[in-house]
Amino acid sequence: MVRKFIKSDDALVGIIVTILIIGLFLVVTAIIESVYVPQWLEEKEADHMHIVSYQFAQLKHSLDILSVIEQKNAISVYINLGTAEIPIFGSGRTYDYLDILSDECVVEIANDTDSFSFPLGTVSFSSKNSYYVDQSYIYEAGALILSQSDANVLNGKPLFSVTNFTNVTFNIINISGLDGKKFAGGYGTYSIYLEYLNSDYYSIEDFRFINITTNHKNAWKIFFNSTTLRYSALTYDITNTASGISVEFSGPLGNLILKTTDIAAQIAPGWIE
Amino acid sequence: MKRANKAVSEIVGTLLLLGMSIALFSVIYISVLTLYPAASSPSVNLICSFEDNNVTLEHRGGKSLNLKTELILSIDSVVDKFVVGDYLNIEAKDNGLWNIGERVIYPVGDITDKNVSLSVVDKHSNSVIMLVVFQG
Repeated sequence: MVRKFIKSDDALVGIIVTILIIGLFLVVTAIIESVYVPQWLEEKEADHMHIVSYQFAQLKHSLDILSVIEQKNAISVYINLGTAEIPIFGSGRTYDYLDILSDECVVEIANDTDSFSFPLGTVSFSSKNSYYVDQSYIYEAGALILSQSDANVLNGKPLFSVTNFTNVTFNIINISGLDGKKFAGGYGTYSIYLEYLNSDYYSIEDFRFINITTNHKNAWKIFFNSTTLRYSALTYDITNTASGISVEFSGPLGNLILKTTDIAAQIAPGWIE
Repeated sequence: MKRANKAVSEIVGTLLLLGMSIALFSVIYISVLTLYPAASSPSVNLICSFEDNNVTLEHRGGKSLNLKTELILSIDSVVDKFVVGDYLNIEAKDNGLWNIGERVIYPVGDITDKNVSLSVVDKHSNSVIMLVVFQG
């Protein structure tokens, strides 16, 4: 028995080399999993955010077109939710959310005697990334906003123009969702079906205030500080309020034509009449 | 004694093989364990504009950048180097990072008819994350 056991020592190097090879394989796998995979996933999630940014630009473009042409038309826009897992390692799938929110933003126009208030629905995308910074894209009142880590910037201006130096045309868009079709969450490509409903016009003389109730004050401040108003003859101050911002006009007051456009939107397949 | 001597070369051979295998694998292990990738370039959106004799660089989403991120501005071959922290406002510098919506505003004066280039260099990954060339 002892002799046989000694004879089996012939394979000692082979056994040790096999153990070393298995160890090496495990070390390489562990390094890839802990170092390379997070980098790949972060880049993948960043790429996905760029795609969503482009898709929301298309969403704004479609809504603006529907509002401008004022005809009974419908358009579908596609949004990608989540990122796929990476092959072999099978990790990294993420799930995002898409919402149509009612009365999330309020635009209020006031002069010295009257006040007009317009609660508006919005479209919101929220990411749930594992490695890249979480971002939200919001379409509210015609503005496209990017929100990240409690801060936000304006990615697309609402339809707003100044004529004769003091007269303002402001086009706001109300998105109304239907029950059961206001939310989608998960992974995949989801369509938002948009249908023009109607437009109304309001004329407000000598307007003094534009108040916006919003969660994205900085984006709206950027908009009101932009060249559209800065190079008009209107003088104004922007102040923060508890729930948004207030733009107070002074000096020569102008007239404001407000156009409100109602657009019905549904997320997920199937159109409910 | 003679019988015992017969196995000497086998034992020495085995020991040599073992030694070579372990030495070789040690080298491979050390190489693999130190094989960490260089930090990748941060994914960030920056927008550069020129207005009122200032070059403005705005963070438009993505990863926050270090205040030591280097900016290299070249106006008609005259090169000026500075870091983001030098030209962010105090409020923006509070958290020690250059975040979304924050702007670096650098006064350059009149650059009419001058060739201007601006590079943004992330020191951590040692990579150029933006290069803008424009005519003033």
